[in-house]
Amino acid sequence: MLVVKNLHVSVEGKPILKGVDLVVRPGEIHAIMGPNGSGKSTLAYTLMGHPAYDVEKKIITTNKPINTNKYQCKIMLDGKDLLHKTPDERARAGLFLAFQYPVSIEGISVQNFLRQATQTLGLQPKNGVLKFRQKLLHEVKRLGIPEELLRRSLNEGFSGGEKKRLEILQMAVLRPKYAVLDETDSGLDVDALKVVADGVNRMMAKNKTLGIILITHYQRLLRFIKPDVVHVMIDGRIVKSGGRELARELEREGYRKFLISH
Amino acid sequence: MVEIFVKKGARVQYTTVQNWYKTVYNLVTKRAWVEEEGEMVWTDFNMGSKLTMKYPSFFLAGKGARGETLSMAMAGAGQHQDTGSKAIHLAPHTTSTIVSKSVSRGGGRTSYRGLVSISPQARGSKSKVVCDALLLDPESRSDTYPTNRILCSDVSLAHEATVSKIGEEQLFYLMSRGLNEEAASKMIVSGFVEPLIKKLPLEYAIEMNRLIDLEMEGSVG
Repeated sequence: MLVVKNLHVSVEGKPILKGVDLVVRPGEIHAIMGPNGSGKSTLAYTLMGHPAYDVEKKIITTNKPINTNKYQCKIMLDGKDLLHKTPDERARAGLFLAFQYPVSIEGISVQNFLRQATQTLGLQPKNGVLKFRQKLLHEVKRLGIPEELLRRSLNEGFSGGEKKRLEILQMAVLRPKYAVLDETDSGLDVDALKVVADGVNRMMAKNKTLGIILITHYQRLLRFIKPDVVHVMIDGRIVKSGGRELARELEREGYRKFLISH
Repeated sequence: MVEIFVKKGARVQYTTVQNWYKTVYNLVTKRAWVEEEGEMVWTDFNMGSKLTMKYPSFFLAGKGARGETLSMAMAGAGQHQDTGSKAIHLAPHTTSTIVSKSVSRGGGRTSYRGLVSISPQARGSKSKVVCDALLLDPESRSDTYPTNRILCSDVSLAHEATVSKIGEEQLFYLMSRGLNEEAASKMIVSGFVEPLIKKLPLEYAIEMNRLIDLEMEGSVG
């Protein structure tokens, strides 16, 4: 279970998240929708432990001593505290983030990178490199990634679509327990979107306990990946949660209604 | 002191990997005389020493002679790697390429100091200089001191220099895939020098990679 409790986050002194609560159980898909600047990506980065995002560990609202326990913030993965962990420790605990803007690194080929990452996570199959490569090539084909991409420098000169597919490939290879997909749909055409969604659905089918947080701006992606829960995020808070119908409602009426009532 | 004479049509590649004690002053002269259609390649990797001043040079004396320097330097705390290359074009249609990459960390300092000199008779000559510096922390320093002395108008000369810092975003990206900070920094550094390492004979390439790993050990507090 991935538990986020009372998460307050600021960036360069500016409060962005103002108390987010979220529980994702194994096998669940949660969609977080919201307008630009509502704090969706901040949530993604904070979960993964980006150093520029300051988590307020205790919220003191008055000068009087208060029951801090009640206000304390938490990020827990299967009972393990993540809040005080570095990004690599969080990854090793089973968390994955598919980046909205994947970073490029010169001189490191995709395949070398994947090999080192899987070794670090202790995921190399016992019968070695060859098996790993076979599995990798299999995934690559299904995600429609040109094989030659594996030999190129990580994300360097990749198109937007290639980067997003590569994020999903990494997710497939690194086999997390919980994955956050940060606007994986942005900048993808419908065909690419289907391929990416297929990839996610395959992983869900293979690993029934995989929990996913889908961060998205549009309902488009949710036609291909069916969420169990939809949350609406406005101004750093989740203002409404519901089933799939909530996404359709958003599509129809936009975020205005929530902005006003909020 | 190293002096090399490259006769007509010959090719010489001279590779050096130095890792002196951090107390050594390493002041070296390396120069090559290159005759018609000859080629001289210096591959020069500087890791150790307190101060290195080294500028492998080539005198392109014969028509169509070529010279190339591939230089890599790494400076840690208390070190200054002042390196570069000199290309002296004395004959027509001569070509020089200088690629310099440096990594500074822990307050270390690297400098690129280079000369491209093209004499009046070196018509149709070409020179290309590329210097890339990578800084691992805010205390480290890198400077570039290029000198171009061009006395002939029929030439092509290119000079590119970049300085980059190891990015927080790059580190975060790699760490989010499970690599710890040290492994992530190592990966970024080895990617940075990879284009040069690729040009080394295999045994040297392996040795260089190990040396870089060693130098990077414990570099992350």
